[in-house]
Amino acid sequence: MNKLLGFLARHHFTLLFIALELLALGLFIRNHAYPQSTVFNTRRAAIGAALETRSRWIDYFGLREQNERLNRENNRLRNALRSNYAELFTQQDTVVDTVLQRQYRYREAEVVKLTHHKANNYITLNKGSIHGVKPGMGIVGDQGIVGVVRSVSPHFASGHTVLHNRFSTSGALKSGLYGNVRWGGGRSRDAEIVDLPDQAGAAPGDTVFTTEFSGIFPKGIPIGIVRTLERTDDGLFVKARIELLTDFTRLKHVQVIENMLWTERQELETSVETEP
Amino acid sequence: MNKTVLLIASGIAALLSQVWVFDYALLFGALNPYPYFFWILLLPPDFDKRLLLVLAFLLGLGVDAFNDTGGLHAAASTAIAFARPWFIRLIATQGGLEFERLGLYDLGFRRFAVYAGIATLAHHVLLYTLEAFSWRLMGRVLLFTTVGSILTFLVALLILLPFRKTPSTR
Repeated sequence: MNKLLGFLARHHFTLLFIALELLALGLFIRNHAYPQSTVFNTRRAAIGAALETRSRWIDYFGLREQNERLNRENNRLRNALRSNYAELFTQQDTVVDTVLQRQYRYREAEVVKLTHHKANNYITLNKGSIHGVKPGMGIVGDQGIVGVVRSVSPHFASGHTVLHNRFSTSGALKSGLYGNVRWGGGRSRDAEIVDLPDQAGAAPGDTVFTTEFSGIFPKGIPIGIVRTLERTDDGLFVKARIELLTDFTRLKHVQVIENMLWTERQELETSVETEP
Repeated sequence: MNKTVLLIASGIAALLSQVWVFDYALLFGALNPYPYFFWILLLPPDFDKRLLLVLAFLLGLGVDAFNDTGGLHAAASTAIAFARPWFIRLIATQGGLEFERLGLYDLGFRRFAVYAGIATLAHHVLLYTLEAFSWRLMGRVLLFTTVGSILTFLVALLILLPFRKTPSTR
């Protein structure tokens, strides 16, 4: 016992160091495994509020550009309004629509915090569970896909951006053939699409769009532009460098996408997978 | 008492300048300077080692809280506090000297560059290796460590240049 006490007394500095280091690594690894989900507590809520204040100041300097972008998007959406089109067919009945069921709902949100230069990048939005945002919902901007919500607090939502080690989604070309899109840890505009079948006929300049496989994004949201192509050794697949359309350095306004049929689809899929 | 206030105030200044200014200063659109841990390096050489470990841990944890990095910076800056006596011995043996303070003007540029340069390199190696958390990103780690260390050192030098006298925090 005395020996133990003596050992502790002699090495207290090193032992304290090891204890603190283990604590720090534990926090880091827990955060790495479940980023921002397990510890979305008051500390984070307080820091979220501090970030929002700071963000408000920084916003001021980007107002002009953000306004122009919103205006462009407004213009595009206004042009798509039904009221712009003359009715060629006038039948005025009330119809209970059984042909269309709404599947995706968009909610606007503002970026409170975003990184684009780390090895794993996260995004925090100013809309949370009281606004109806739930984990697993997709995030898109006016230029293309942005990321996925991972966890929510009452007023904030936080998630992975495309620029994250564990983000991957399927991307399809116009031909409908698809591959797997992921970020390789490089610059914030460079990503790659892998396992793309050779017969997809990809060419530089083609746009890669989202598919419905993940259930996170609706079909047809732009992801990026194909830049260079590289055939795999077996010649069956193509790996392409793509330039992401979303400019993460200037992202401010985004939409969170809710897949309203997701639970139904998930239940069906699990019931098939667990079938004996 | 006055010195405790100075110690706490300078620590908070180091934390806030990091999370509110340098975390948004991006070089080449990807690199941040991390001068916050110079606060640890600049404390007097006879500062209580155990207290310094705890303070360095808290400083790192503060930076982590704003960056959503768990305990990444806490791990790196605690390690720097642990290795600090060794860094000091490294420059002291060069002339068999005892230092009262470790500021830029107290040590002179060459000694300070050795002392702070090695500490910066150590800090950045730990930081970027842990951050990547996979060998797949080894190229990124090497590049970021080298360029990031130079950047941090230059930024810290610019901050320290106007302070001819290091305030005593003993």
